[in-house]
Amino acid sequence: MWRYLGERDLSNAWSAGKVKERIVQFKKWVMGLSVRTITRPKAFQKPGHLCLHLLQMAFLQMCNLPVRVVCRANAEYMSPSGKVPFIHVGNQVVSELGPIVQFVKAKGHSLSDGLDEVQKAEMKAYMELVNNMLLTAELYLQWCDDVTVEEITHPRYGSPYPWPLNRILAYQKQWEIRRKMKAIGWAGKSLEQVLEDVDQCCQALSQRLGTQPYFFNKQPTELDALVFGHLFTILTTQLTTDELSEKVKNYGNLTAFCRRIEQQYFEGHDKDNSGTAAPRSAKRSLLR
Amino acid sequence: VCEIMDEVMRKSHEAREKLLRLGIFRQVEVLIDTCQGDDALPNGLDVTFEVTELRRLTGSYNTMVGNNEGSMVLGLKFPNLFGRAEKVTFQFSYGTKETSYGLSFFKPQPGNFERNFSVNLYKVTGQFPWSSLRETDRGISTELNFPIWKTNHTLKWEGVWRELGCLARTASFSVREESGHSLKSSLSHAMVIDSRNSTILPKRGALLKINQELAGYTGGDMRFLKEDFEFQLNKQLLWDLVFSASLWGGMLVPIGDKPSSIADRFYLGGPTSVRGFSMYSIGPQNEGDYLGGDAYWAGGLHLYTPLPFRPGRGGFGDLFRTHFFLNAGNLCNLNYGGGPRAHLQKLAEYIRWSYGAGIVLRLGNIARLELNYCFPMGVQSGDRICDGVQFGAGIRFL
Repeated sequence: MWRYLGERDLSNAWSAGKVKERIVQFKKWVMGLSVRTITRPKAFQKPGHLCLHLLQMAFLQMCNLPVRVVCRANAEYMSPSGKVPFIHVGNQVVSELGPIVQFVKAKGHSLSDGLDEVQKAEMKAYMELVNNMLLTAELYLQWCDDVTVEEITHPRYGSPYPWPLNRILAYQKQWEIRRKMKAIGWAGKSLEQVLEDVDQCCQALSQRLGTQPYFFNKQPTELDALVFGHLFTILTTQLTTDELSEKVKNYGNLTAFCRRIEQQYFEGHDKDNSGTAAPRSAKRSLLR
Repeated sequence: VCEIMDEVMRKSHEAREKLLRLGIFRQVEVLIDTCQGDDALPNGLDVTFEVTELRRLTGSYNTMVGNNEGSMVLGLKFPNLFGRAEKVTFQFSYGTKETSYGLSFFKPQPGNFERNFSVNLYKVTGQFPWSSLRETDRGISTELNFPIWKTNHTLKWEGVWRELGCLARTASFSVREESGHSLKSSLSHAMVIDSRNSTILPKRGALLKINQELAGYTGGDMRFLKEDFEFQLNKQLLWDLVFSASLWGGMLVPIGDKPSSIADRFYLGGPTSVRGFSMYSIGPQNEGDYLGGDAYWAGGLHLYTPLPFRPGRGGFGDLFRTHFFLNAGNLCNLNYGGGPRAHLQKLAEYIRWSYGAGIVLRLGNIARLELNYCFPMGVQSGDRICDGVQFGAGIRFL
């Protein structure tokens, strides 16, 4: 599936005839408006939420924008689209990575300015791959694998609420996710098949990354933020089995990539600004 | 003999009223005749009640008028489920603002209808455009009603799963912050003393309602203590003039660290409250969404007269009244760290008030319609006014 997407997008870019050369310049501005990113408190976070939060944090910090993280149990309901995390800037509320990237771009910050059309199409293709494969696999593991659901997901999801609301909301969410899985055809898949898909996806990413520091030459782009968010979460979240993180660990360059980004964007900021929630807590760190 | 006859007629009339009030009979007829038969007493009277029972299951279709909204109600009722006037009702209501359904079980104490007990299960959806808020409540409540001397008391336990959401994408952030789910489990007590001769446009008598609610100690995550009261006094002056004074007030005290929820706070303003202001559009607000307040008071002075030149006297014209009013009120939050004295001071400054005149139409004994010309005064920045003509419909007016 990912190959098909990649080829289709590439061929479109070629036919559009827009192959340019640009000088890559990574601008560093400080915005002046404070950006608040809102997500669920760590203890209550599902691994899915955490990864989205991380990738958004990574993206914003790559753009060198000052961010303050606020944790609320009802973040999911506060968001205009129902997805966490979201950012609150001045009077505006923007949720999900795509719109946030657009919003930040409109303010004059973009990580992919230096890419030409072909590369942009390729980047979009890989982002689609990650969204379709990794994100869905994470959701599958959290909500469709019975052991994980009982032991980890239900308690975590319902923990901000009193009984019986914690059970009701957790079941409601589970039905919703399972319905979605059925709609995209993942309901029939077994855990092994899902892990196979994750492995294939990691293989593709690993091949693209190669020995480079980032996916597109020396500068980070949205794709780097996206991949970092997902992979870091998979590597550091405790689940009932370690199979998922093992699949990712098989690819050395991917783990090195995550470590590099963690060091560069979250370590340094940790020292300057203790208000920013780094993905590092006592348990979660690749640097051990 | 006449006195005895009067006594018998009066008592049988009372008994008939009581039987009708049970709500299980379609018709009750009383027959009084001299005693006949073998064991007849001399000068004895036979009193016979002939009753026609309602059907075991009845359906109904009504329209309902609440505070500034109308709705269509479909109902199913078992008027006498187990033979002692127990009622089971199922209702589905589709309205301009709300859609809801509910199941309720009602049981009066045999022989003492005033003492009764009911259990309700309900789902209610409401839309509040003045706050850009949407609320869905799913709950269960049990209620016990009993009279003590001249007062009527209600003890209630209620458990509600409350879901709040934004009505539009443009809702302010303060309202967005309140979105989500919460569980309220509360105990409440209400006391009502009502000596008025009518609920709508009374000519004399007084009403006092005091209500308190304690949430949080029986489960749930909302913790607060809420008090509110309603007082009304009516006096008939000469020439069909009726003077009426009313005072409302309330206070919400959150217990613990959590601030109060937008769904529990008090709202002020509108054709049923302080006239001359838009619906619930007084007080703390954020980007045009009104957030309500933790404490409020509102008062009104009214003078009701029959229509000038009394058209339709003795018939339709009697349902109308002209009225002159003076309303005032204030609403504020209590979360600024002051004590009771500071609270009173805050409620006393920046009072909103209005005066005007209009026509009132009585609808049965349940609701009233008003068409007023208002002059709002004491308007603070942020309040939305409705000066000039304002229309109101409802059952509870200031």
